[in-house]
Amino acid sequence: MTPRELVDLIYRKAAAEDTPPAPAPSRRDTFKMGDPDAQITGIATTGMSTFRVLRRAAAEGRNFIITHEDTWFRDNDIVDFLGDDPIYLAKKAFIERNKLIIWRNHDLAHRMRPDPLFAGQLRTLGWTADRIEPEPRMPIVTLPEPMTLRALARYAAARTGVKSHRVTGDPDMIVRKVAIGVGYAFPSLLAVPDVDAIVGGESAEGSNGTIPTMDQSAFAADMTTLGKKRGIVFLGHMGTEDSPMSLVAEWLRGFVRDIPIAFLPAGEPFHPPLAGSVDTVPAANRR
Amino acid sequence: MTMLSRRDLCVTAGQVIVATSLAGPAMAQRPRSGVPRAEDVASALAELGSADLLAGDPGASVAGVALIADPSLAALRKAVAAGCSLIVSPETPFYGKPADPAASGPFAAMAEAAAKALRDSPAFRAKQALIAEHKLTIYRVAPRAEGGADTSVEALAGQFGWSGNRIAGAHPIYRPPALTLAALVALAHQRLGANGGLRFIGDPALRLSSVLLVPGTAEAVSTTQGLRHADALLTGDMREWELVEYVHDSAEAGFPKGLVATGRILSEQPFVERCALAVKQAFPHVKLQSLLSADPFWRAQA
Repeated sequence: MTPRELVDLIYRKAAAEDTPPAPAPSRRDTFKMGDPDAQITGIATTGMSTFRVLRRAAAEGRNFIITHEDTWFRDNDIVDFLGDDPIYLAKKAFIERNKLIIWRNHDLAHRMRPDPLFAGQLRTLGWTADRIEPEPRMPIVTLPEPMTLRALARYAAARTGVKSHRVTGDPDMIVRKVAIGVGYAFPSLLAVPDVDAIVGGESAEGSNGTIPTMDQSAFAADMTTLGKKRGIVFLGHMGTEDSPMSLVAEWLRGFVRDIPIAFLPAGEPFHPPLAGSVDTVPAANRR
Repeated sequence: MTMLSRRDLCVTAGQVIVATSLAGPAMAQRPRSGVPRAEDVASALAELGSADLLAGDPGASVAGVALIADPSLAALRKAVAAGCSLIVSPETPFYGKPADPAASGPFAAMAEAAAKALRDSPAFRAKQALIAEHKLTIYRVAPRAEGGADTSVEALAGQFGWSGNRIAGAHPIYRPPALTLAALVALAHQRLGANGGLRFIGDPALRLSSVLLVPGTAEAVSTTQGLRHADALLTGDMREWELVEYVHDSAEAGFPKGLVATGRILSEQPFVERCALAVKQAFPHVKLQSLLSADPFWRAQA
């Protein structure tokens, strides 16, 4: 089977599972490098096709990489800004030398029902959604037991293995209901006023005044000031969209026979906080 | 360089702001007498950037000026308690820029619903009520950027004591004294007050001879192009699936780089302090409150 044939099969399988058709051809979900008509020797799914993931895939003999995020440091993967950048050229040369083929599965994955990124993150967190709001993607979870925001952050960090998480809100507030986000798909506290906290990936801070934004952290802080406490646990983009790509590997195994398929984690890009340089104790009355 | 504290930066009438971060090109502000109007104060910031009116009356007499990196409800209340009627910030107190329903095409209904939800929210209404009750005027100030120079970059460099160390070129790259990536992380902690929001990528032992400074939010294309010529980037915020991947890949590619993200607000704080100095120089008799914003994030210890 070739990558082109497999991608075609993926689209047909997704359609058969009632995935809504794309409103327009995806600009993200394209082949990024390599020959889509070569024979597949092995498949790797990952949250991000980092250089490290590519090295591991090549070492394991997997020449077809299905990545959720981009390869070339920019959402649209257009490389015209990179020129003869040595990091770009080194990664490109490695891909060519090892005859790797990279295809991005972003928009299709997020169109599927259930969205495997959200489903995978729920599985990683060990929770079940009560409802999806707003439809069709954002899961709302009533926690099995209420817990403080501090305990929630520890729990989410431990389940995902994220060391560089960030939290906003009163650490001692009690959390009963949580909205789940993945990547940059971040729930809005405005849309789900009954949730106490969000456990998500990343969300824009502030605003440059050009692109529509909503600083959820600033909003949570003001709600807390008003006594209507809200909290947010930011697990980072790869803290929420990397391990869920293991679900895509499992899904592929259901209809792709005789080709080895593995999930290769991109991992957290950030270094664990350095001891002694960062005060991790939340300041009381910060806001 | 002296480490700044919140107390160092809370100033009132008759006091001089003493902060090493404010060292830099002298701003030739001639002291003005009389009670200024809000728009007079905004015009005093022209050398540093442009000020856009977000709320209130630009012609209102100013009882006091509060400069705030993070215009939270708590900060606005503090400003009011201190007798300030004019708020100047690089951020909007209204959480960002809502989508324009008229420009949202098929998503117009969604944009309108989101805008209505924001207007109806307790936090938005509380801020609006505070602004109305105390007749606050609010300006958002954007740093001036010309020919690769940016007043917020210069302020951030000053905070680190690097003002004279700019490397010639199109990108705001500075040459620090002998420094490792771990030391730069520690510097961001000490000089900017970054705590739970402080994150970095790269080998802590990486030696840095050049640092690209991008306060605020680092845009993918221009920042990646600048970072090509520097050993590390120090910024506020960035999208994690773009230049984060570039830095993460750099070691595997054999050209290791570092990235330090402090959070957007803290990276803008030195610029706010520069603005405070400009206001103080122009209106030395006007009550001035420069509220140092704390790191809005914390991190739960394992």
